[in-house]
Amino acid sequence: MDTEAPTVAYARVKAILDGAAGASTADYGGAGRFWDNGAQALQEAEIFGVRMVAPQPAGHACCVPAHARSDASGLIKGLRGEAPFDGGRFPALPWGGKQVSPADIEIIADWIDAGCPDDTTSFAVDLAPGKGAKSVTVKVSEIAEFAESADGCPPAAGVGEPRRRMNIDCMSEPQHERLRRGFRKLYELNRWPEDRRSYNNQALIHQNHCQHGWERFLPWHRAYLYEFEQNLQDFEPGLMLPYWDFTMPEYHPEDPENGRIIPNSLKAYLTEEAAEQLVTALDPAPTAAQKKAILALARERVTFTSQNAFFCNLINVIGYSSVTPDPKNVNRRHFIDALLESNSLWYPLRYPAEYPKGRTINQAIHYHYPSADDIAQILSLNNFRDFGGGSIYDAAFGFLDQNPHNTMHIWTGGQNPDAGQAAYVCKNSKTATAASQSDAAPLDARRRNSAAQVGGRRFHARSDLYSQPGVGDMFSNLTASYDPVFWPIHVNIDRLWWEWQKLNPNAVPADLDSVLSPWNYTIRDTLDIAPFGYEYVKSSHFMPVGLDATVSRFVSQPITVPQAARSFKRAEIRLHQVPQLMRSCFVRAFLNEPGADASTPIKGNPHYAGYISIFGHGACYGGPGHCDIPPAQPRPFDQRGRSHNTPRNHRIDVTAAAREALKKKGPLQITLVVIGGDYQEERELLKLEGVSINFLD
Amino acid sequence: MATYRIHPGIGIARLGNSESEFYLAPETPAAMPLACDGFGNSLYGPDGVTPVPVKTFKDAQGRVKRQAARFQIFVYDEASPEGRPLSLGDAVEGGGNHGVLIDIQWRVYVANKKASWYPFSELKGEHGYAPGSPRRNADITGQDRDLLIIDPGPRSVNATTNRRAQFDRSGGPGSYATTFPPRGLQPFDIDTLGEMMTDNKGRLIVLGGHGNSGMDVSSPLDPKIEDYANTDGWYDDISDGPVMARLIMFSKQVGQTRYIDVEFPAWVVVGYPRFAPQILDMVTMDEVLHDLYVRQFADDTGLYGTLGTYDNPEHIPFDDAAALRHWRAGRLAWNRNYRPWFYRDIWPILFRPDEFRFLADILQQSNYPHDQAQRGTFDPDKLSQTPKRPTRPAPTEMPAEAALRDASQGEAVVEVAAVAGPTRRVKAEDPYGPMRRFLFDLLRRAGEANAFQVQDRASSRVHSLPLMPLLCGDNPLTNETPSKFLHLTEYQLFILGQWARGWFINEKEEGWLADGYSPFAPYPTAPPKTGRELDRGVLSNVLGGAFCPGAELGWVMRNPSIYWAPYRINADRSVSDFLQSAAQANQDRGTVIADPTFNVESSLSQNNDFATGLQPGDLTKYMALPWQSDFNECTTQPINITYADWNNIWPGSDRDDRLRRDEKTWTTLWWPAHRPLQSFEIAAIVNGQPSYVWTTWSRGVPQTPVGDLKMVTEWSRLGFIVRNPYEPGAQPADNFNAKYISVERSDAPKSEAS
Repeated sequence: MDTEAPTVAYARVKAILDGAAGASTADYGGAGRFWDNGAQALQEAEIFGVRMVAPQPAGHACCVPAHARSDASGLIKGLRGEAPFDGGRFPALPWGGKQVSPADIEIIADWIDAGCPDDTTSFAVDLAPGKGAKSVTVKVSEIAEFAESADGCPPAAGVGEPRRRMNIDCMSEPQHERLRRGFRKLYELNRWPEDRRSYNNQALIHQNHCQHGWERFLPWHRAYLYEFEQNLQDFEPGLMLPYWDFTMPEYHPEDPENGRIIPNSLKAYLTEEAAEQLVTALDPAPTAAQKKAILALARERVTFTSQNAFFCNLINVIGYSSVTPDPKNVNRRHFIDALLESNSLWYPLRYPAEYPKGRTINQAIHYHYPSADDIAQILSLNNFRDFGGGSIYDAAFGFLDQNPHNTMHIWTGGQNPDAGQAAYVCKNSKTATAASQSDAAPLDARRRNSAAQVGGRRFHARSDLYSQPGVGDMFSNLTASYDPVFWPIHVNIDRLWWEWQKLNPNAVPADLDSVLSPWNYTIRDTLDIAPFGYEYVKSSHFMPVGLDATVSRFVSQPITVPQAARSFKRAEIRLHQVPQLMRSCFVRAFLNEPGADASTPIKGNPHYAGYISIFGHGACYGGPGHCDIPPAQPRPFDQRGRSHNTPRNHRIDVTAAAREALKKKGPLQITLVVIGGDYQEERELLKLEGVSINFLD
Repeated sequence: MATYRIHPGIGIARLGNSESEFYLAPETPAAMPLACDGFGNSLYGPDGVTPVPVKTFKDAQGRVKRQAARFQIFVYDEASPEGRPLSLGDAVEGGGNHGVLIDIQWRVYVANKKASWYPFSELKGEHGYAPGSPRRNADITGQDRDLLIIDPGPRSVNATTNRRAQFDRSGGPGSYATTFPPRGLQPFDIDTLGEMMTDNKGRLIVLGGHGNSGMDVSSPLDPKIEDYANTDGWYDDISDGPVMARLIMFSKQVGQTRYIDVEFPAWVVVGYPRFAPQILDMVTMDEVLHDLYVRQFADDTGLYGTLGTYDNPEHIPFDDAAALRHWRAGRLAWNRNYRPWFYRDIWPILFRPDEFRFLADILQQSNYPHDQAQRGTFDPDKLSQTPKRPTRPAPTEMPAEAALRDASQGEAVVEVAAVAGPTRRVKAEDPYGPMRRFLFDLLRRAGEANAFQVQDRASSRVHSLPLMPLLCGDNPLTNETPSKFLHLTEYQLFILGQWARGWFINEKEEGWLADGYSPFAPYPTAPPKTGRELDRGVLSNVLGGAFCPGAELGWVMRNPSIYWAPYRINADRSVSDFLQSAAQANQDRGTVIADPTFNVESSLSQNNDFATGLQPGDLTKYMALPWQSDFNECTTQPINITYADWNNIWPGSDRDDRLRRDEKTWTTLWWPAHRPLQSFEIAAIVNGQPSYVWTTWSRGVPQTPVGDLKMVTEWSRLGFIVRNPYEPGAQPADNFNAKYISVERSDAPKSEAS
């Protein structure tokens, strides 16, 4: 309603329709040339019960889309050939004569949207329609603001609440650090070779039992991920494995060599602490400038996709060249020690996207990096054999198993450009250390037939981590799980299976009763993820509140939503562990309106995100303890069902408002307003363990 | 993203005893089959695009040519949501790969399960068989029953290197362990169920058997036939089964060949020859299935759906069983605002019965009750006129249609009439309204299958007249679930009802008809453009009732449980699909044409498992064995109409002379367009002018078990009834010349197998 649209007169409409109809004698179900009798008659005309001009839409003008009336009009639908004028019920208009050009149809549509003016009518156009009244300003500082949990811990999942596996690229640094801590604790156990909890023994399960190329692939790995995750949680309570959505735009799936290649959190980098130690250990000592540059790498958290890239930077950019690819090279060992200490998710025997002679993955192995389109195609398959693999009598690969899964192994494993080299050979570098180019061809031939070595290795021992094998450990299923990148890839595969299961609830493997060794799960046990206690959430931000006191109004501190999480299918605010409330109430959610209160308008307010109503319990009529919140875990031998006083979890779908809010850069702030039955704010009612906002793929 | 589907979803091949000659199944209603070369390539007219119809139905030796079912792949994507045919060289994608289509691999698995199934016993089994129900060949037990199934195993062809395969005893290149009947059947052995090949465009051509039926003789009186539908010891070479396809693409991206299967299998069904290809049955299989999908699968919710939603029709995905159940439990009704088109929707139904006068004596002897000339009750010029309602109505007026027999619609009538708004004039100018209502009132409604005539309306013109169509129903034979007479589908009755009350469109009045349209050639002739049109066109030439057991297919087709989607049979994917998955072919860098059989775990099943899907042979096993016996006997049936609920009564048991005197039967036609009774033949041609003789079409074959046995060898000698080339084009209704004549009758006795 912002323009002074030129008013189209009825005469123009009639002329267009006359011209199109020509000499046609179509009867229009008795209506004849229904456009001939003036604007009023045309506005009321019907053909076989279809109104040629739709009635004026109800509602305030500001809320009705600009072309709602013309779009609903039979005349416009008919001229455009839209249903019911698509040939099924009726042919397109006009009947006989010739088609009306799209430009002329627009003219008629404009005439309808302008209210079907007769020739003499003119309309006043409201050039500045009134805006809604401004909301009352509230002093935000008077209200407690709740912060995200500092260590990135999700809430301890209570009864009836799955834990969240999140997108690794959407996690915060503290969340990444927790993950690193968990892995480090398992690595430390490697000193006791008989301890089944150690990282190596967990990885050995894959080496000895893993299932690929048939229907057990997905069920087996679902169980494996769960078991590994539980093992991690023994050391780092509540820690969940993240997933790597490798089709996100950051990875440039159409040209992956120039994308991110692997998640930044898994790449090589130096912490300042590790860098400080490192520069004192090197021999010869680096120059002051080199030292400064190495410390700057750490300070700026420069990440490197592969070892080769790190050392080439060291040699060519920083200028410290006393290092060779030789596994025995002492300086190289110092660097690798420092990188491992800095990031426990980095793994030296990993050469992502590295193929001989600078070839792409397409050229080297004839498989391509998976794109979002590819995944959509795979998700559209309608039977388990094609999606996830065939039965024991038909040991067929499924598409998910083959590409993306196999391809991502090969992509992240890569082929080691430094193997057998006397000096580092760097890409695109004029100052590359002289390499024996004559060696390249035979080396290449050797490498093509090389497989990951297992025999004689001491996984995760320093000697092993210093070694220079031909291919990365992800290249082979015997060694893949020793590289931590294994987990986010497989979690993503599991997530894709779960997405597909929701689309194809009845498509299951042929043999549901087989046991998935070395555990006791059958395939059937793995079909639902709920018993395993997890769900997939792209990004989750939890703000602890605590049950000690009532919350008069919840206002979060501004939440930084990571760039990668700003596109999502669904956004939810969750209220965690809300105990029985004495009275019924509404909880209204607002985004980026910290001052919202009971009087804040909800109609037409883009900050209003949605509401839930909570059914009140009423005052306790029993003795002491009658309405207490039950313990999170029942007593041993208490086999009774769930107590009706168990706290509930509530969800508010805030997808539309979150989309709107995230169109702008900047953080997101949640306000929850508790409103009682009298539509006034309830300040002494709501209790809850915490609030989270979750973005789902 | 693209989806690939095989169309037609159900393809129809037909038997023939010619060794090598065949033609292609017609793809539009009442059309002649299409001529093709020995690889199934269509022959085209001088313009290079119009397919040429077949010229002769028999080969030089007088043997019946087979009809091939042709299958092709359609791609559905954003550019063509209705689908378009896919060609070699097109860009394709799937399973996370994309490339150029360089080849198509097809897989067909047909079988014949008749001898191991239950005997056909009218409607018994339509909703399951009681435990312990006897089977055909009940004396054969245990594992031996596997041998009753004719199972040649699956075969594969592609468009390049392996273009032909036989459904024979050999087991093919995969050396499948086939099961065929023992050699020495009388009068014919069965050594093949047919063959498959690709045409030059990579389309699949499937041929059925040769019409060989034989009995495993055990007594000096054999071979003999004891029943119209079941005689133990017999086998025939009818078959059906799934058709699967794999797209083979070259991916430039990775320099490799990649494979992806189409969305879901199609199905091929082999029927007996269509001896009157240009005359439609009163109810076609297309009409039965369309009605089923509209009412069970929410296929057209603007036409039949939840009351009050017709203007913004609901979309219920066919594969969401819960949503469909919910929808079906709702307040469903036909959209009473829907206006059928007279020439597109109504007239092609009304046109049909008069055609039957060229197939049976009865209509001439009844003084042409379906006469379409000016004096007749079926004059299209009169029946097509819409009521004229020039003035606006009084708003309180109730619609005139309330008087129609529509108790089944109940509140829906009132509700929708209110939505529709009042009619426009107190009294419309509608001189032919009574004619329309007379015809509609004569139609047998669903639920009146056992009603012979209207007897409760003494003041009405339809009083005491037999209800129409006057054709046999699903069970005019026994007292268990009798269903004496055929009725039109609910959809047909609905649109005819709309027409009767004047709520229809006359395309002529609106200028929508193509130039040169004649109501005496009413069926569409343009080749199908979309996959759905192809599905429907092919099935329009298949019998849609009555199912006792029927011709090509029976009542199992009415069962919603056998479908995966409209026009797509739910296949048991463990037998329909390539044994090597497409992803495995990618892995192995090659697809296997010989279809390794190491993973076959069990023989084709003796039982149904609709939850898993249908297996080869699961559609035709419901039909008569051998097919010739039912084919021969299904001319007319004396139906006892004394009591609606009883097909058989026994006055003698009570010495009830009154009942004996009052007992009435009506000799009723079965399905003349699939089993003609009489026909014109050319007696002589003098000076280029033919003279005709009206004669019994299958003369020499009596309607007895002995005749049934004779039909096993006689069927291929019968003539094909086609439009008389001496009376071409659309003839006016008052031309009573021989519009259809029987041609190519072979007089030489067929040489029987020794």
